Amino acid sequence: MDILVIINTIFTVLTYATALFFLIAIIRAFCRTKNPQTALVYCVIMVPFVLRLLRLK
Amino acid sequence: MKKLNINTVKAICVIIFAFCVGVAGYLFWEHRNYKEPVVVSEYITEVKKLSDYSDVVKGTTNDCNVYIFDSGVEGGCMLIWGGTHAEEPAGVMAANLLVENLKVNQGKVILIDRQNNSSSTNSRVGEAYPRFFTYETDWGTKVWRFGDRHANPLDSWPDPEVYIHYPSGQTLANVDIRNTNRNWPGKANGLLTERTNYAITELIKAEGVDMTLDLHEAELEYTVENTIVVHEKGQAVAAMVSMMLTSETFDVPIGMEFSPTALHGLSHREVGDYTDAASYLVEVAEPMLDRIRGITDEELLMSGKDVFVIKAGEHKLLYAPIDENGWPIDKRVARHIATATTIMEVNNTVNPDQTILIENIPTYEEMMENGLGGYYHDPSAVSADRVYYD
Repeated sequence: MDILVIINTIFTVLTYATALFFLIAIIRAFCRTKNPQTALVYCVIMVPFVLRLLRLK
Repeated sequence: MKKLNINTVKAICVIIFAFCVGVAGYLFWEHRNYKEPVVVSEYITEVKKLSDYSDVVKGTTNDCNVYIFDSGVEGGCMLIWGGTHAEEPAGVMAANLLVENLKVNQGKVILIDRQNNSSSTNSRVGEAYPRFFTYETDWGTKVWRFGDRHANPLDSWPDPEVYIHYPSGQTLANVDIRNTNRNWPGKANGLLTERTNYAITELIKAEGVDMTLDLHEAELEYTVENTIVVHEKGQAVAAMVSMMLTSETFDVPIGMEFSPTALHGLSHREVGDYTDAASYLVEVAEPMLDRIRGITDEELLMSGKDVFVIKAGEHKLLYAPIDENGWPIDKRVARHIATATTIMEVNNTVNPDQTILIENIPTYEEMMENGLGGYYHDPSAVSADRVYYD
């Protein structure tokens, strides 16, 4: 396999793992917050992470 | 007013979040998964997959349909494809029209509607491109995906810092690793677009293709416009085609340009260099690609009319003429088809051993007079074995 393909595969896996990590972190922060405005912001921030993990965008 | 409980607020937030993800997700999913029905001509011989020629694309988005019209009579072989750049719809529509109507009486014609299928499943970030484009036919609305110049990052990502073309070693813009007109002749163990072109190169060799034609569109601000770009092997034919179409058929001349020998990765250069085929690439004006355009929507894409581009034309700032009639899709598709058929016609006289005789394809004048609707067929009105999906 070409070196570029191997590097791409590693980066792709790491990207999805990173997206999952941050999504979990945001969900955790969302559950803990007592501030309604912050809760809303967390929800908005979650959208691209979810779309990425579902391989929609 | 009573203050809402934090849990109630969070529940409302989650509902809004789910709604946003649902709507956006559905729109992205629909664009990525919509299949274009193609009613193949009753004279078609065979429909293969690209992976039949090389399994390096098997199971990928770019394992496209390969439509084969073999007369069984000895002659030449021509491969025509659209969809290299999914934001240039005339090529896809022209290839599609040929697939739905062609009859070959001598030689062989092979067609690919979507050369880089992946590029038609995403959009260009920040450009507000429509997801689909449509054409009204006698039986209803025919729908195609509208996409980007590059393959979908969901299929090939990340891009390298610098894209080094194989096998020349020439450095190109990093994003062009996902542009199938920058990585010919392809690479068997490369990224998706490199593997796609490798498989098509294998197709060209396996089928004994004599000529290839890559259908494109270009912004009027770009110098390579309304022209045939050709490898050395096809220069005599392209020059004659340019003269014939300019003098007898087209209102706006079509030029002829030599493929630069030092610019690598393009079909008109590498296909000619790495296979026995003479490679041609044809460009027609598409005002929607111009940076100075106004509202970017399907209307502009299909009508080719934009007040800002027209104004630039009035000031002689463009490389193609434009007036209040714009560059409608009928004209762009008709030019592509007329160019393809004229290349065959001229090549028949220049290389008689490569003769290809076809019929059942409308002339430029017929398409300009009747529109294109009558040449696309209703998938619900034919038997299922004539309907394929790109």
